Amino acid sequence: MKDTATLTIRNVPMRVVRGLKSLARRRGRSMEQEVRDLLDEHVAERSSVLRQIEASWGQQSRRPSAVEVDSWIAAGRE
Amino acid sequence: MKVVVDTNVVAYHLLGTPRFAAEAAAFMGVAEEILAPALWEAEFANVIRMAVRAGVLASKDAPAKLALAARLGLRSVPVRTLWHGALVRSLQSGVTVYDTLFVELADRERLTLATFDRKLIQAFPALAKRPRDI
Repeated sequence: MKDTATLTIRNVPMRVVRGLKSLARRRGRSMEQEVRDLLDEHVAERSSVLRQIEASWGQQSRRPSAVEVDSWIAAGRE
Repeated sequence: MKVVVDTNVVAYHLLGTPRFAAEAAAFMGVAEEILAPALWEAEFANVIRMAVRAGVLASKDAPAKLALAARLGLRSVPVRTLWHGALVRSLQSGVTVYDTLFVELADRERLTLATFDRKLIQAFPALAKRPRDI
């Protein structure tokens, strides 16, 4: 199975396009490569942070109940 | 998917709240653009403080929770841009302004508010929903 796809993105604001062109020029790459790398980095970052959040539960003495967390949010509002 | 999230979704997720954390995590995994009134930052920081006080979290680990939450990429919307509508909505509904700030943002942006707050979902069923129902 082919592991790449072609994306068509409509209505990208011109300021974003100009920013992408400028970034690509500075890094000596094509704008297409720049967009590919940015998308790849963004997806990897989100997956990575979700994994790290789940791992951080193990560093706690326990996982607080919803009632507890709700009371902590409410405490900040009093 | 572009959504508004309530502080409780972020807090349950970050602290691994049983029965809700998995739902919150799955939701945060698919939400591409997440907005919240800037108030969420103070509320979440206070939740982390309370978690330390309750012995859930060592104080040395508390800043890391904030750093992880920051990396979720929530766009914080200034409260000042929402407070008028939130106040009117609060006076009409009896729900606190703290809560109606989130509802106001969702309504203004024509988005859904993801929350685990049953009272909020009951008061604003067209705007507020549990993450699994979005």
